[in-house]
Amino acid sequence: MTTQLRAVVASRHEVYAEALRLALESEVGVDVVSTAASASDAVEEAERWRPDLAVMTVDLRDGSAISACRTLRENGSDTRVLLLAAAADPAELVLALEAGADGYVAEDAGVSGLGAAARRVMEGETVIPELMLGDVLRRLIATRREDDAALSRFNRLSRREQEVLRLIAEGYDHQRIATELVVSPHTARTHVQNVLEKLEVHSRLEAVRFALDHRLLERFVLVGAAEEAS
Amino acid sequence: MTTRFAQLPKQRADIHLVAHGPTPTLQDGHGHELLVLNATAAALWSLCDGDTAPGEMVDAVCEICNVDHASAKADIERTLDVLTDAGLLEWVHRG
Repeated sequence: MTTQLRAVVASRHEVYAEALRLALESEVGVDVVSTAASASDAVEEAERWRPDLAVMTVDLRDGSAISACRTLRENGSDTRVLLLAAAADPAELVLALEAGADGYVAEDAGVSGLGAAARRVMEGETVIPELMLGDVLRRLIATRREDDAALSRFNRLSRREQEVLRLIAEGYDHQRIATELVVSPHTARTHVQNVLEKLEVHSRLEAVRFALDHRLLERFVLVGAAEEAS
Repeated sequence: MTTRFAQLPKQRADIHLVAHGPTPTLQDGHGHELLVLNATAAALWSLCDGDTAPGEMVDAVCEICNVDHASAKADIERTLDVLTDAGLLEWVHRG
């Protein structure tokens, strides 16, 4: 006896979701157990049914399927995720992959292309439109270089300055930083100035943006946790 | 290959990737077809800009495909070997 594979489908338009259901059931032979229109519902349904596959159009009612995918991964879901885009967009594809998507296909691939992508995703492949592969690799390499350069700047910060960066990101002003670190406001101001200089940014806001873009604060937390554990 | 990997692959200036139709091909300035590529080889060709290291290509491929590092490295080295042996790539120092 074979177990039928299950899928959840999400699209902001009900008719589109129904069309996806029919296409997946006829082309791939999966049992579409639920449909959703919003990113939050898609996450809820995927976590409730734990399907083998989730097929989502990128643009959902209350947000992007990319963020839904990220939430699923953060919550430990191993459902394979295939995103269906209105048009092939390399930047969007990179974001989707970073969010943990297993495949990305544009609508112009047609029903047969969608079916083929769904089958490959369920077999464990990462599906990327062939013509986008070069673009995606180039963007990943560029992103990796930027992250490496950012990390190198971050590593110039002393432990205390890294702490100051975290406090800046939490919205602390000089006075609160001084109180938190038990130093004078003048010293706190000097720390902030050093952080800005070493990160090569011109404002506290830019420093926060820089730290978030390159996930530097996550590194800080990880390094801190590792140090506490040792 | 180990020695050459200290250098960076660069497309020969007179070679062009023609991606019309299902099969990408490399052609010279006269439109002569020199090599038929698959999609992955075409993608790698596009990265041969004299600035991207093969190691960066390997890392990026590993990041998006479910392949182990050794397999990706071997596949990429093989592809670059084919392109080099066909006289389509030159190897340059960074800078």
